[in-house]
Amino acid sequence: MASIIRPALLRQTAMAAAAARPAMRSAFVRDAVRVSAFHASSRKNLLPPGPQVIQGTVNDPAPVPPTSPSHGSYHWTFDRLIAGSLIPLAVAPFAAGSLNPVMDATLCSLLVIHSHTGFQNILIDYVPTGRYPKARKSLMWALNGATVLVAIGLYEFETNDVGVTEAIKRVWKA
Amino acid sequence: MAALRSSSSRLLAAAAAARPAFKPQAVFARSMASVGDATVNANPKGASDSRMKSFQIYRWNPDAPTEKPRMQTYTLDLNKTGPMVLDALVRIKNEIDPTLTFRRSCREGICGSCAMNINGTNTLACLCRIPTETDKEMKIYPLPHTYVVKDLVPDLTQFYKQYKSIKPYLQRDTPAPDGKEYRQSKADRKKLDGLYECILCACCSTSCPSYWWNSEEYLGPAILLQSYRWLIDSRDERKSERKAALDNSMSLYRCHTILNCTRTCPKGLNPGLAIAEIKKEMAF
Amino acid sequence: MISSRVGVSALRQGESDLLFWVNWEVAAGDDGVWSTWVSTWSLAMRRRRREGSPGATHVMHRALTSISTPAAKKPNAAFFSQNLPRLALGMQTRPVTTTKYSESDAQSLLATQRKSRPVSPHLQIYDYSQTWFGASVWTRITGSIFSGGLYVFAASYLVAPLMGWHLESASLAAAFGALPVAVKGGLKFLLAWPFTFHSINGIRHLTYDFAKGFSKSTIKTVSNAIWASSLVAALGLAFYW
Repeated sequence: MASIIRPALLRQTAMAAAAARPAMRSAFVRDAVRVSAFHASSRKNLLPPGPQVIQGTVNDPAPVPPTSPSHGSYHWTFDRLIAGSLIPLAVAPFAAGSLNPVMDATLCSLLVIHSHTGFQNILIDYVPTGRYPKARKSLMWALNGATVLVAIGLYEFETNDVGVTEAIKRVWKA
Repeated sequence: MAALRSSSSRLLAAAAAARPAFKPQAVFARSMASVGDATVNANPKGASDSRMKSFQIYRWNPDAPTEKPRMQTYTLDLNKTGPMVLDALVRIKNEIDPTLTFRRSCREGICGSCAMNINGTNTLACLCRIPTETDKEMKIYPLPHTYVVKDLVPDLTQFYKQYKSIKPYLQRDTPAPDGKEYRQSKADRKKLDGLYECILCACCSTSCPSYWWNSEEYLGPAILLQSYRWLIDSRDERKSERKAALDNSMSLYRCHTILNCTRTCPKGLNPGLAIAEIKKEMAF
Repeated sequence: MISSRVGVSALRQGESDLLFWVNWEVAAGDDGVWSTWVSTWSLAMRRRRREGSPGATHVMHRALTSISTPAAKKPNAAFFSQNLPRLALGMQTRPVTTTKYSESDAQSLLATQRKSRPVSPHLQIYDYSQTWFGASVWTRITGSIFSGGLYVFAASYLVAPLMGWHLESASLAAAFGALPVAVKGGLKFLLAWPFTFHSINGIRHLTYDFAKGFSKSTIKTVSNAIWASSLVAALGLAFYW
């Protein structure tokens, strides 16, 4: 309770002081507030990097990773093909009302792949191997496991229920 | 040696004798103000037409590494300051606070030394006009997400190491046909326009969130633009090696076309487009 | 006796901005140690180039000798007659002590200094319209919302029989239909906007991959168009579809 009251008390005191002597409110006070705010904000640093460590001297080039098209150019092209083929499948239900089971299954599998590579990209971006090697590895495997579960779940949904597009339509029109 | 010794001691003796005759204070009238106050006013208010503008500048001193970085405010009269942010910084350093540290050299946007974050966007201080509204404070930070050497000076070691890793030079095995120079058609030369102008100021790379999170492995817009500059040079013969060096998950493909690079480039270049061209060339 | 020494005091700087500060320490007779920030450096280099003399110390000797010789004889006399007062007065002189470091010591000192360096602020200070409200990050956010939703739904559908949940489309539709109209509309909009935004911006990113639409003005207008069209389309989907 005290900790809740204290800032209010401080504010009251400060405001009373400011009201009593407006001319005395110097630039220093303003700066002090600003400085403290700046420090407070720097504490919630997103993705804090570690202390600076540089391998080798400035005259050594940064190491070039080994060539691996399956994680590089092939992967990128594959990603774009999936994304591109999702466009007609996303537009078709609006034109046709809903999709037939084959199209619906295709849409589902493409969505799962698209989601999986999207999540992978997020992990690669925000959980760098250099800084969090263990977290990165375990999260990647967790993602793989989740994707398998989701694929099975969607298979169940497709075979036992009305299909994703039809289900969305029914909920939407409910 | 003996002759030299005697001549130099004679010179120094003469100098010592001459000292009182010259008044150094009179020759070098500019004095260094003391530092200490958070706000130092270079122009005490007096002239009614003065346009006082505040500059908040990021400070961190490596001699006191445990102290946190802070923002320090300086106030200048814009009537007595040059139009560019660099003019203001130089004036602050000369007249208010000599401890303020920043890099600068050419003051005309060709050296790339004075790259910093001004009012939220990376740019060159020498090419950035001071906004004339005096009620708004100007905020100046070092290039974002860099390790700070001091005040506005970031450590670009990793940036330069990455530049070196892309082999930024012509690689050829065959000699020139005429034995003199490597010739290029006008059309081929034109492909280098918009690429060769890059001055490696690191504004784009340090504006890129992808580079913020992964600067150890992702090359960043500036280096990739340079990479493309050598990839499409008709005289270079190591195209496939250059492509192979980029063909992995990190070096190139951490670019998600956020395009902060293109928005921020103080030279008006388009690193985003250059990266897209590399991706396109590698994909199809 | 004249001794010269090159002191490297660049350890606080990054290697990228290594500054070699050249100090000439001239010990002259009984006058004590003089250390001069040599403004004659450029001159010495010029002389060195012209005369082809190998050693810097030698050059310094020559420079000092030339000061004491009659002005008319030397081509650089004008320079010295102008700068002699400055040099002699010690305007740019200050006593400097230098410490010698071996290469490995210098490297390890630099490494420890690097470890105490702060990281300059980034997301907090960068132009919000580019970082927080940039279309690119919202593509990722909206995509994650949908993919996350798909993952949660599909996984719970898989375990629903074990847990006794009812996630069949019929029961979901019935549950949704039972909600008040305003809530239904609101929920629909909250789902429709991420969908429209992700789709439209996804198409735009595919055009980026063909290296199209990169000029600054296009980026700006298309971004605005995407925010507007996605909102309009989402309203349409939520309330008129």
